[in-house]
Amino acid sequence: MTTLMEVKYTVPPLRSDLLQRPGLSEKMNRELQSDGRFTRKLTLISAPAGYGKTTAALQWLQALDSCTAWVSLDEGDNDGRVFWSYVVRALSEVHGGVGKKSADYLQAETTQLAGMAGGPTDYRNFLKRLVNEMASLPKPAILVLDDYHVIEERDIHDGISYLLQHLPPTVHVVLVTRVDPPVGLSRLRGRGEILEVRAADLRLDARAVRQLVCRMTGYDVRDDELAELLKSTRGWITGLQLFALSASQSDDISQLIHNLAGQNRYILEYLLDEVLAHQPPEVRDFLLQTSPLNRFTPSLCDHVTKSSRGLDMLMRLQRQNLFVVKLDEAGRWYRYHPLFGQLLRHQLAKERPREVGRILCRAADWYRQKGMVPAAVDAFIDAEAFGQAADVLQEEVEKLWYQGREKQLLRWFDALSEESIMAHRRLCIFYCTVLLVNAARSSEAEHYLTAAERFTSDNYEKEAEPGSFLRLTGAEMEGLTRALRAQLAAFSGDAEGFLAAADGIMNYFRARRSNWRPLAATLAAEASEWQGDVRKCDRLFRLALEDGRELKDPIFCLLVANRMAFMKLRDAKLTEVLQLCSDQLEFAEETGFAGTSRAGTLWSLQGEIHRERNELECAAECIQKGIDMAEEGPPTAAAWNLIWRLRLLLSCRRLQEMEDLLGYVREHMMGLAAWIDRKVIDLRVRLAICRGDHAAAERLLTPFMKMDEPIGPWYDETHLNIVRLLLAQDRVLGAVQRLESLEDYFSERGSTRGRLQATILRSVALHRLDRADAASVQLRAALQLGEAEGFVRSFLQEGEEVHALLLKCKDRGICSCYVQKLLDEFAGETDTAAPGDEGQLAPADEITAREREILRLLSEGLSNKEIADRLFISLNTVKWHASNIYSKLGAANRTEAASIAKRLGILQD
Amino acid sequence: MIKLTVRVIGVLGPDWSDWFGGLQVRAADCGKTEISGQLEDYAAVYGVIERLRDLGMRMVEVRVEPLGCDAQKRR
Repeated sequence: MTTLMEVKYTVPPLRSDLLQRPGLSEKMNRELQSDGRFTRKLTLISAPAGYGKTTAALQWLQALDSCTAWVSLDEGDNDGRVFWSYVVRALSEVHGGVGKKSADYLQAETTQLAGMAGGPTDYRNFLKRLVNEMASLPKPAILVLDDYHVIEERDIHDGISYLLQHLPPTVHVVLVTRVDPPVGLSRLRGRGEILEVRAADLRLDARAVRQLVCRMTGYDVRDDELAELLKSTRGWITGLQLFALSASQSDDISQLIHNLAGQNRYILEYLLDEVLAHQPPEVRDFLLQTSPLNRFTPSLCDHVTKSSRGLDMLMRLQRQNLFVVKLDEAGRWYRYHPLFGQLLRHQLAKERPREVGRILCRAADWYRQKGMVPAAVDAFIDAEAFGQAADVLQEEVEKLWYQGREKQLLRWFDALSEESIMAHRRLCIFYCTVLLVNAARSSEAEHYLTAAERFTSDNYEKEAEPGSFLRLTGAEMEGLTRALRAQLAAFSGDAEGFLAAADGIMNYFRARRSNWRPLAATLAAEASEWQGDVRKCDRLFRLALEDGRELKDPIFCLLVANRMAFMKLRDAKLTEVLQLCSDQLEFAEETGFAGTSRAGTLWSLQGEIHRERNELECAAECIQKGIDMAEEGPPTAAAWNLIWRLRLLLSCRRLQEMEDLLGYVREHMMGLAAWIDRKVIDLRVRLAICRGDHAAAERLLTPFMKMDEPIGPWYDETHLNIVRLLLAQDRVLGAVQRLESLEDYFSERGSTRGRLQATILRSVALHRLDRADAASVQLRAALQLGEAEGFVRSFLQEGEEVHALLLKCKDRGICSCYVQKLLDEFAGETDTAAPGDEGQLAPADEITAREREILRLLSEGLSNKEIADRLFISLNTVKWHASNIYSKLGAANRTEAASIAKRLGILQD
Repeated sequence: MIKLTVRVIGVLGPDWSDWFGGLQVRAADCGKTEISGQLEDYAAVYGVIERLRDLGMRMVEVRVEPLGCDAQKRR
């Protein structure tokens, strides 16, 4: 038995008695394929309603020796996840197994845990996989998207456009639409990759009109009548069919033609009146009563008409050509030709306005009985029976949300009345949720969250557990409400609100491993981080990771791993971060998510660890890898990669580049998240201090001068920067004072890395005050904190005074091994640059041995790729070095770099 | 608010008003119909045009006049 779902990706059966249009098929075959490969990418069938577009496509395809994957679209498919899952299903109908990998990927990429934790879905990676799978189709296939005009979602158009750009020659796309879709048509036209079938092609000519009328009525039209018919219908096939239909019931066809030509009403309405007027009352009733249904089965017709003649009626309508379209071979699902159906509906509303709602409600009941909740909700909403719509919707709202149908949910919530939503706690919760993920409307979320919070939560401890892990228990609803409150607070940077809401959240999820637990665990973990409880935080993150794996949600795991890595970085557990990243990247590899932007941020995070350990080349490579992988991901991922890159540039003293990149980030990435904005300000402060622009640094820091205010984990750097500025301004006492309170601040908040840096700064400050003993006590404490994990940069970045202090330590034989390592790194550092001396050194001094090597190969004319191969390093590393070289030499390109190097004698050893 | 006036080929009766979200539907000269009225915003304008599209109607004239603050913004 065909389900309503399957009808969507079934090629509709073609009536055998239709007018054949060989000319049209011939045109569509032109330059379509050679040697079993498609030579053009797209056939666009674009014409207004009623021009026989679908039939033309079907007739053409029937004669073609290619498999057809067919998707019939409707308004509800305006959601990337839904849309693409239909495309994949249709393709797999053609050839089993095709699209399997992409489908799995799509499923994981769009699960709601991932969605909730990481913002908008990224379809590019899915499409890349789909293209690969399409390329391996054993036999060429044609993908038809019928009624494409219902698609409004920008994401989907972009996806189709991308697909068309990268389409392998094994697949051809056909778009059947009433409007020209924004999918890069002009580019396709320019390259001759498209064939367009438009209204002019679809219009019937004199011969075809004569044939049509003759076949349906047996009447041979005279030439003058033919001219009149062509003039009044303009070759419009639906008009002509309606005409033939009323003609078949008339004795005087000639008169009919004459009347048609003589009237000036909207032709379709006129013809429909004619046709309906000739129908017996039971047929007329049936047509009108079933007209509000988009698709119907005989049984559904019986249910709404309260009769049992559905099947007979449908057969009869089919026989008479009354615009009933069979949707599957088995003859289970039907629909009216869209234009005809719309007119019938208009007629019904005109004649019996009250009946429309009643019919829709009856249909909704039927859908509900059959377990078709979305269809039931649609029908109740169309009938404006909002209370009933809300009742049905709340039965499956969790499932729909979890399946990623958030856009559909949003449409329903928007359509429902306020009152009907407010009657259900579940609906309030999920309205709030879908508003929150929808960046443009997140401000509306508060209203529904407040409503959800108003529900009392008594007695849920006694309640029975629902059948599925997906259905929320009362306790979980309470917990989810709090989770949402916490998220809302986090979005707006309200730390106290966040902590208050997230506190104890796990209590509500203790009873069972539901689908909601990992989400709650992540939030609770973040709350513990804010509170400085590192162990609890670690435990919760682990729980979230375990649950995420159990629920087979690799993207969610990657997101949790990213957050967990931040926590560990702050806790100065560098080795653990590297371990976590490599474990998770392995899992990502296994599940096919290794190339995604979220895996990329784990790479760049490893880069940050290498930077801290002063393995700058390796750091550069890791960060570049992250940047490359984030190209098509969400902007927050890209922002994080660039933040790590900015820090690396600072470490390398490439301040001009840092400034340029900061400019880019400020222009494109501000306002994405409070913590990103925070990091950007921190980096601007560092840059300003580095350049001695104390006034600018002070301006940026002023809002954060008060000690007790910011408590989020991302304020560590801000506090340290205030101290750095004070030291730079030689306000040493102020710095010491601040550092004393910072000690506790970092200890209480579990930031070992912050403590380490504060301790180093403290030793510098004490050194300036000539309190040599106290300074060396501090430095020794710092060495103890930093040794095990191999911290280097934290020492180097504070400059010469730390160097002097380290020399003193060495003299006294303290930590000799680690101290010696740091001193060596300092020696390497002063070889290349000194803080604040940007651009004042002769360029030759700055060029490292590796860079000189690459510069030599560059000037010999080798390409980046050839250099990479020659030196056994990655292409990105070469690019990285090359850009370093250019900026150090002040060269715009490789030619200039080579000539400057020659002039300065850098290449002569 | 926006005032919309569309002329299409073919005569539609006034009972089509509902179809076009309550806009006035009246016969114009030469077998045309004028559909006109005030709409909330541009989304509503596009909605009307989409409905015309779905009926396969041929437009011969579309006039859009922003009223009130929309008009001021335009200036």
